[in-house]
Amino acid sequence: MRCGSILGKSSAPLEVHPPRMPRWARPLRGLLRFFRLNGLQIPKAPQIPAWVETLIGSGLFAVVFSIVPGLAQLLTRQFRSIWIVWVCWLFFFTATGFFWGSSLSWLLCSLMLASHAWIAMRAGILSEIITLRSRIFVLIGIILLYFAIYRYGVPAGLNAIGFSGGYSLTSVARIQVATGDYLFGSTRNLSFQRGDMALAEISGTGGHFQTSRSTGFVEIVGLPGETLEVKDGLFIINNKPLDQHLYPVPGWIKRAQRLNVTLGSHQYFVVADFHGTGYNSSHVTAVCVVPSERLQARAFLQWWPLRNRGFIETAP
Amino acid sequence: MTRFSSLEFDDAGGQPERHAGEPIRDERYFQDQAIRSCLHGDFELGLRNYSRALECNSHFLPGWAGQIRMLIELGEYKEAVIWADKAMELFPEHPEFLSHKATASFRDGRFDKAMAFSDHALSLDNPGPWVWLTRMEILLKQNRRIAETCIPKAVACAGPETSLIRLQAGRILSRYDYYACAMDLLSEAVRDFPKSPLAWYELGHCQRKLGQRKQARTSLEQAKILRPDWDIVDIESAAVDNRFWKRLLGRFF
Repeated sequence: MRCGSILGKSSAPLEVHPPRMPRWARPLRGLLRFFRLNGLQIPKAPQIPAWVETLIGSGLFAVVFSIVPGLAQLLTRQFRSIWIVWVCWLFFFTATGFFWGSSLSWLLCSLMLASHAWIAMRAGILSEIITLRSRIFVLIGIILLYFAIYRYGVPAGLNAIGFSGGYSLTSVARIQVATGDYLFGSTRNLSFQRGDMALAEISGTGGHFQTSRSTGFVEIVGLPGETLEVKDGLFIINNKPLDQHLYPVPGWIKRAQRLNVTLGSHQYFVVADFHGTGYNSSHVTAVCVVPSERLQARAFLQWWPLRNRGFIETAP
Repeated sequence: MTRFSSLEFDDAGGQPERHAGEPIRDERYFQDQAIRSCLHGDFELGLRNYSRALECNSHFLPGWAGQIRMLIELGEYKEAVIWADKAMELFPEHPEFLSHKATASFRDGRFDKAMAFSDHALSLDNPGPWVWLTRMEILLKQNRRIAETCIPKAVACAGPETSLIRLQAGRILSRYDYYACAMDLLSEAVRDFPKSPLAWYELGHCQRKLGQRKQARTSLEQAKILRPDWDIVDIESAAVDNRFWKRLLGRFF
């Protein structure tokens, strides 16, 4: 508005059509009205001091409060401004969980992160940072921050309640698990039997037998104190052969000459798939003999692929 | 036909051709149509007609008030309050809008707000009939005798709307289960509006509740004749005959 300008009536046409109630809102409002008419008070959100509200909606604090998506807006009573993004986040979060273990889950996870970061941006940063370039940098920063939180926070949270997940490093026909399937295991009351799938950290699994380590689900074949031998394509435990249909010997172990291992009191012999050549018995021992402290969980649920989703039967 | 006979020009366009004897479609015309729709029990159409009245003249007070009343009748109380606020931007502190706001709040279970709006409406000059009706509705919850004293006050200041106000008062009493008190008002309403399915239906409902089945059946039959497609009359008729299953299925089919 310029100095000297004359204020007059707005020339915009007056809206004469009233707002209407959406059909879906009718039962919800009816329920709330029923509560009110019967004297049931719905508790209101607690009043928070104005300075706390200002603090929540400012820069870094907004990002911190938005670790729980929508919390900052909920506390400052602005949840309506982001509810659609919040619903999107919830959808992507649920879909990510459902498809976890597949390549689609990464796409969904990215969308979830983007919506989460946008909720944080809306909590107060957008009003503070004006330029587009700064906003993009901040958005990327928030995405990276939240990625780290999801990457380490969610597994830690799962661990805290006794669950752990990972990809299978071997194929077990008996329970229809293939290499690359995603499994969940329990970290509580760990005791293993032959045939169990265990989440293990195994070493010496890099290309050309480098000394790298990987974590995944492997099959337990030898138990502590047992003597394990591979002869004529069969596992022989304490001089008794195992059923080759239940416990087939992987090709790379078959090729190792004169494999004969006596396991210690806290050692397990596990089986994982590798596709290299030239392994000898010492290499196999280095990979497959795992101390019990490296076994982190016992698989109980196959999560991906979807067609095989279900609980894993215990070994016979 | 000349080459340019089919061309449309600004001055001729927009205004439909009007035949001799046809009423002028101004705000009054649409208000009459809206009242007709209300008496027919079709509040959705009533709302549309009030909107059309406002399209003709956006400063037409009865149009705004009618829209709010229709929203209340349709059970859209939150929207009614929003619209009352909007109307009060044009007509600040108007007692009728305040009273409609009070009604919407009251029916939505917000009693404190309703009482406050009603008090405010009564404190203003020249409270109209709708202000007294709202007062009556709010007081019905506390004291029927005091509430009933509001009816003569509402009728006294109703002017040409007296019959409508009587019908509305009867409907309010019936809504809160004061059927015997509502009967007189609704009987008068039926005399004033013999072709109103709404009046016949309300009368039939009260008669059924008071156990006057024969009279109720007759009233509901009249309502059905006047508006054959009105499902609510079928449900009420089924209730008169105590046809439980028909009544239950009538809600779905």
